Amino acid sequence: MGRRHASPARIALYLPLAGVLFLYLFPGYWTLASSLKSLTDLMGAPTAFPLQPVLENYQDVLGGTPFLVFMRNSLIVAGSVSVLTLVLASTAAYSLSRFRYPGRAVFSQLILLVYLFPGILLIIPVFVMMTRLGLYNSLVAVVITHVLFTLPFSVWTLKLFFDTIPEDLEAAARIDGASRLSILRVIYLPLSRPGIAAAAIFSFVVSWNEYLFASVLVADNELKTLPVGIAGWTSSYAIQWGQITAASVLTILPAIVLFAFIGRLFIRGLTAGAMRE
Amino acid sequence: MGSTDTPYSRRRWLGPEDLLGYLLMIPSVVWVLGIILYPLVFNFWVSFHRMSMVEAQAPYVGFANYAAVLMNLDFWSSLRLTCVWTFGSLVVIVPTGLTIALLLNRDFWGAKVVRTWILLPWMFPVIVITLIWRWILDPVVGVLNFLLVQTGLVASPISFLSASKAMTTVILVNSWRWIPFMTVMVLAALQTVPSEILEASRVDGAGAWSRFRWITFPHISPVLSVTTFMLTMWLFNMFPPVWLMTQGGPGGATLILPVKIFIEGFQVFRMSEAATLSVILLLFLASIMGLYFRLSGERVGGR
Repeated sequence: MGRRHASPARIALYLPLAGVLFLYLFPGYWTLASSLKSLTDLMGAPTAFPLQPVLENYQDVLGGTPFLVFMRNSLIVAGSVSVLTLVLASTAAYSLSRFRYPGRAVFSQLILLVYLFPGILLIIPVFVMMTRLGLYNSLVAVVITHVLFTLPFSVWTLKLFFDTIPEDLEAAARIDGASRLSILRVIYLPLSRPGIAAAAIFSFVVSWNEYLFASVLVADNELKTLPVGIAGWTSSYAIQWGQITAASVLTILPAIVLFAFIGRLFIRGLTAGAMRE
Repeated sequence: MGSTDTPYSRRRWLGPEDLLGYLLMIPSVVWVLGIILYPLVFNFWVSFHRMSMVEAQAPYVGFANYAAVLMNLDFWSSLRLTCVWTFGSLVVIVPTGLTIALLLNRDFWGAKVVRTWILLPWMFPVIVITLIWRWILDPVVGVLNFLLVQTGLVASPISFLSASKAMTTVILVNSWRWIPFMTVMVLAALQTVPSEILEASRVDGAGAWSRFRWITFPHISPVLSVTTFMLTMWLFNMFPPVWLMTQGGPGGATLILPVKIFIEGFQVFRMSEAATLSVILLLFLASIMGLYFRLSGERVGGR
């Protein structure tokens, strides 16, 4: 560790660092603190921390609003999106990684192109399409569209992992008479467990957060996902900040827990695309 | 690692193997094409027809929709706001993200943890970020105005979402979410800068700025340009932050094109206008993309 006195270089490092940390920690802290304040505390002059922490905001959110219904819908949608994405992405990644056929490069470019396609350009036709297919106002429609946005990252992350698996392993299994699909299941998937976790969690979080498609493709209150449901509270009546902050804490909790597991791995997958350019 | 140069190509899989390769790939490709290609064609078709409701008849009207949109001053005002939004956000996100990345790349206690967790805000739902900041910035009960007034920095609370300040506020709140993304990308690139060269040039007496300019920057500039390009594309078409913060208001002060498309399509149900705006937006998108590949193509060509 060495010297402990504050040299100018140290100050030039730690002062801006403290500023950055404050900028990113304070909003989170303030939300948590506000969610534990009583109504009178919230409406008076702000205090740095709840004078008498109360859980009434959480009780109101869980008992007095459809929050749990929204959460159930979000869980169904995000869970289905994760599973569907993994099935599609693992087969596609295996195909891109270990098969040679004409058009392979076009396919991989096509999958990446999705990154650049913003939802707003697709929302009206997708709405019309889902209406014609009779899927409007169903969670199925939301799942189908969300998979589009989770697929590219997942295919590329899994391909990255599959590429590193020695081909001798596959060759040996083939000599033993294993089929390609069972090789994918027995060799590739178990050896790529971190990649699969990253793809699944990424898909879950993207779907959990998505607002535009979930708001347009569903009309019934009983089918709304968390972001859409919470967004409705701010326009329908006077904003209850205590409930809003409590609901915010409950909504981001899964993202924080999942990030603890895959944070570093996720960043590796995320940056790999840009680094290979 | 390149994707095409694995030693695998020496092996020849015969017909059935190729077929299996396609079979494994097809579901994803159909999925992507179904939800991207169909909508693009559909938008294009509707932009040449008069369509007000999903079920109604849609007569062919030629370029009438385009004429109507382009003659309307609202479109030009929205286009201007979209440019202000996109470039305003870039000006905040790129330099700040880069600076924070350089800061976090230094050695300090807890550096590894901070370098990972800095991305967390990017994983939060936009609605939650919007609500948190609306709560902090509220003119009546918000903590920021309280502090500003208490410390005497301002005489009366600032209305951050008023017509004159809404755009700046929305840009800053959205930048708060995207700066970590930029930071993480640059940090990854900074790992590729060889520390021996930096150390050698330090010994040779190169200052901090010239080390950054001549050693660090060339190493991170490819990632910087790819990320900036992707950000430009995303910002140009970004809908949720602006919609959830201001609904395009007050008085159209933040009515960027994506929000306008949403309002035309789902609030006043003028499908033709919405589709026409979408096609126009797509043309902008394509030209940004074309420009980028042209510029980066020339650079790559020299490699």
